[in-house]
Amino acid sequence: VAIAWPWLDRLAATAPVAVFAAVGRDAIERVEDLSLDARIAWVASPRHADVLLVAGEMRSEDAPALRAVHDQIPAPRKTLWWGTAPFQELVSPTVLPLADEALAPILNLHTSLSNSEPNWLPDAPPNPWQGLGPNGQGGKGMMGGVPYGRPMAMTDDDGRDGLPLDQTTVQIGPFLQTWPAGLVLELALQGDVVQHARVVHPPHGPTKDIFEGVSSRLRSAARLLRLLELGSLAERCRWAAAAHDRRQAVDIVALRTAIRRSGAFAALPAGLGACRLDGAPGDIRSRLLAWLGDGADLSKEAATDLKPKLSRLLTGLEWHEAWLVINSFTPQQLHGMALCEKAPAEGDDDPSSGTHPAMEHAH
Amino acid sequence: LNAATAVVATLLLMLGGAWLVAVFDRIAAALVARRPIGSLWLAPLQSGASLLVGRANRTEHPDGLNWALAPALYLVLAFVGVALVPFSTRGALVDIPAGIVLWGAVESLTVVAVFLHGWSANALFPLLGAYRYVAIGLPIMLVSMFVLIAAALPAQSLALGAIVQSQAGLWNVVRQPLGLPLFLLLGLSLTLRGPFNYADSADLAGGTDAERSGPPRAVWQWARLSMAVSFSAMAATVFLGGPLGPAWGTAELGPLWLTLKTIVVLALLVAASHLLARMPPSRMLTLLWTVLLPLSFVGLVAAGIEAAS
Repeated sequence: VAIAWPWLDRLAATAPVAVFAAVGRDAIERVEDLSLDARIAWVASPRHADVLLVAGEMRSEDAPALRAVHDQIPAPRKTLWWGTAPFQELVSPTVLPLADEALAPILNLHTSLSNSEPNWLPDAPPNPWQGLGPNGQGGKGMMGGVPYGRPMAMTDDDGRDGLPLDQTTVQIGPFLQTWPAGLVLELALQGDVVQHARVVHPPHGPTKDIFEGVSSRLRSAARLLRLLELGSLAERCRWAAAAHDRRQAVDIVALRTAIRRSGAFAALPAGLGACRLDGAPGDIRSRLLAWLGDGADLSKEAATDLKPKLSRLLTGLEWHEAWLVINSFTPQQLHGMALCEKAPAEGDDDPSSGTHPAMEHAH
Repeated sequence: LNAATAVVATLLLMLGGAWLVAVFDRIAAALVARRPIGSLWLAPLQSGASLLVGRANRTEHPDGLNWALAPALYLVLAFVGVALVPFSTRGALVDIPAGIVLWGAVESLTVVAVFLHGWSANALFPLLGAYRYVAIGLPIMLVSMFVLIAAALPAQSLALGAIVQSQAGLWNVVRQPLGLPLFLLLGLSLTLRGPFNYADSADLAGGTDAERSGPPRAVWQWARLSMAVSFSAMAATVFLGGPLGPAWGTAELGPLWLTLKTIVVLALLVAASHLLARMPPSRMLTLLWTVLLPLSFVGLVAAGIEAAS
């Protein structure tokens, strides 16, 4: 269904360009700064986008997910490759170094949307139906398995009270808006409660200096606030981070007061995500508070061997809490934690893992 | 006013009201983020146009009927809410003796509309948003029922016109101080906003809205904004005296007073959705069942004692 009135088209052309960002290595801060421009709308779902921004170096194992995310963007659509090599089969892709500004090329692509890109994947299920188990879908009896690549529920005991309930295993990541770039988790869900978690791919490890500055910490705080539906306060944090990068003064005390008044600390359950990180105990509240500190304890980020297990931290949490916990670590910390528990070989060629994109069931 | 004029007027009000909510949202976002407001008056129309010229999509094996109808159902419910509001002391578009009960039905059917929106996509994120919304929607609706029954007690009537008349001496916002704050929480839930946005939230990449694009998404977003108008007009009627104005005014000024009061409630609703954090669902459930629901019951008992004495 599409409406064709010229005046409506002209009005629509003046709207901000809806961009979905598939973020790779070392690009998240570039994308977050870009999103501050009013001519860009950084959207959370590829269904809401006009332009796919592939930002930062990609791993080969993320290519299937990237193709699927591209095809989820409704036509007409375009892709900008920002600091990464495009797929070889593409004809005249738009490529840009990460050091260059992406705004003007994105606006340019938006004016040429009518010449839309075709699908990058065949419009077919990633897995066949036939030949797996007695009913064709795999799994046991009529339950479980991954018919057409879509995981089906299987009864299992709830980890909290042992009550048998339907359990679905899904893969989440690597391209979501408020999610560590590159992280792919396999979650066994009962309702919205995580029963098991497994790291399929760790997030990208930052190649830059291990030292974390004030602006990085403000951006980390912004991600957490976004998950508390405080999008406007999160934007204020990103503005403050950008200002700090330009060596302008930032009133972090006022920012911290505004966040406290929003009830953000009260909304976070005490003890959520509690673990000893680099020898120091803390929970999600204390980590947010530390990000909003005055920078006195900046040097405490040095890595040690003591790492909490991400999969253990997430088990038993409900969906929202799990996302909060994942985003309560800096990219460096999370990379270190996830790297320790990534099961080699397993997961990479697991037929049940298929080629799930950011969102299940969506093609 | 004949019926056709009233229907057209209501439709225009919903369009204008939705635009106003979107403008308020932009102002609030800019103020909270401490940045310039930028393009303001045209911006909601531009965003709406870009959705309308976009292409509607279909997920894999959706529940086709509900996938198509859920946004329309949500929008219709917002319309029904506005139609119930007495815009002058002479009555409403739909003037029935149990108007406040029908509004209660609008509240509960909104939960159904949002659930079906998430359910019908046949995808993980919308489904999680749908179930979560129902879990929160039930107790917050119970809070609202207690609050509305308390507001109907002084009028000794379920008709919205009578509830307005009962506030001629003293508005319910003063008589029952717990009412409007608790009712505002319901408004945040009905419109999927801020601290009560459990359906279309950031941790679900848009939740029930995550798989939508094109004109149906425009309808869904318009419905969300329209429901904010509908709710605010209802709150202004039940707690702020509706079309009642100062003694020097005439009955013809009623729609003006109601509009002004509705805008005040809208501003409160928008401010709350930008300023207050959303807690995890289980924490919110505990808060609702152990604090807010008993609080609304206390309000009801107090209103009953006052009405009986």
